[in-house]
Amino acid sequence: MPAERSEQIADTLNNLNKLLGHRSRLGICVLLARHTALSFSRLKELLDETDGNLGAQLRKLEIEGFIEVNKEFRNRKPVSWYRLTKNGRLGLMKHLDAMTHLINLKS
Amino acid sequence: MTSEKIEEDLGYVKSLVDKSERIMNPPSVFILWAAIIAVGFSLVDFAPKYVGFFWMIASPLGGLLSGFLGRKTGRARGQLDAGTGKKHAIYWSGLLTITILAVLLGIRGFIHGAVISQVILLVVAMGWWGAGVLFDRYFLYLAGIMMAGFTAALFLDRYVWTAMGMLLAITLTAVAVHKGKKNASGAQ
Repeated sequence: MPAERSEQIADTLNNLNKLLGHRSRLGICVLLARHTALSFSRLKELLDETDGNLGAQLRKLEIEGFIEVNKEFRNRKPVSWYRLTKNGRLGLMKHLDAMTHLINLKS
Repeated sequence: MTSEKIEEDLGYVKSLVDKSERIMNPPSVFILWAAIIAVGFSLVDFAPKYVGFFWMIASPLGGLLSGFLGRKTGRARGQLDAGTGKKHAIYWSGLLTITILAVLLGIRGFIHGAVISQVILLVVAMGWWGAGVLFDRYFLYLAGIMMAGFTAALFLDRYVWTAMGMLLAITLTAVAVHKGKKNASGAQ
């Protein structure tokens, strides 16, 4: 039984997405799954991150195709709006399912 | 990855979502309805023949303006919620439709005079109570004032509607000020 359980845990760990292993990136994706779009400044406020760190995490998610960005001007100031892509939503759901499954297996 | 770390991460994302959902209806919407209600309710006492005409214009226009103000506030805050906007649109347009159906009772002659206003008030009070449960708890207080006003109108016949309208307008303004302060201090 313990061997079977260990196998199940190993399988589930494989389903975890390394990209979402970082807490900020997971937070960004969950927030974008809940809301249609969030601006850079709103994400910064919610996550309590520095500009540099948030920008780096957003870029990683964008490169992997998890999020997309639209830039617009508001009162002559640039505003970046982020949205979760279909691919990002699927990846997030799979990751959250794996997390829940792991908790159930370990408890 | 330990289960403690996973639970911590899940707790963290839950707190983020809770924080992001603390945005409620913008204060400007409450000010708008304070003005509409103050005028609309007073008309029942002072110019009853214009009540139907006023609400026929003010209700849908107020609804559209509220939607516009909500979207504008969302854009300014950097948070767009198409799902929430749709939920509000379905809820409030449903309430408007039910109110119009209640008005038809008067047009067809099944109910007369002050009873029409009373029936509409009950429908709206029920709608606002529902909004208090679903969207914003402040609607519960406003629905409570309407219920109290309904009861008062059963026993008194002078200026009850004006008093109720003023009380609702003052409460709506107080809610708007309270929300404005919360936004300014970032306590939301």
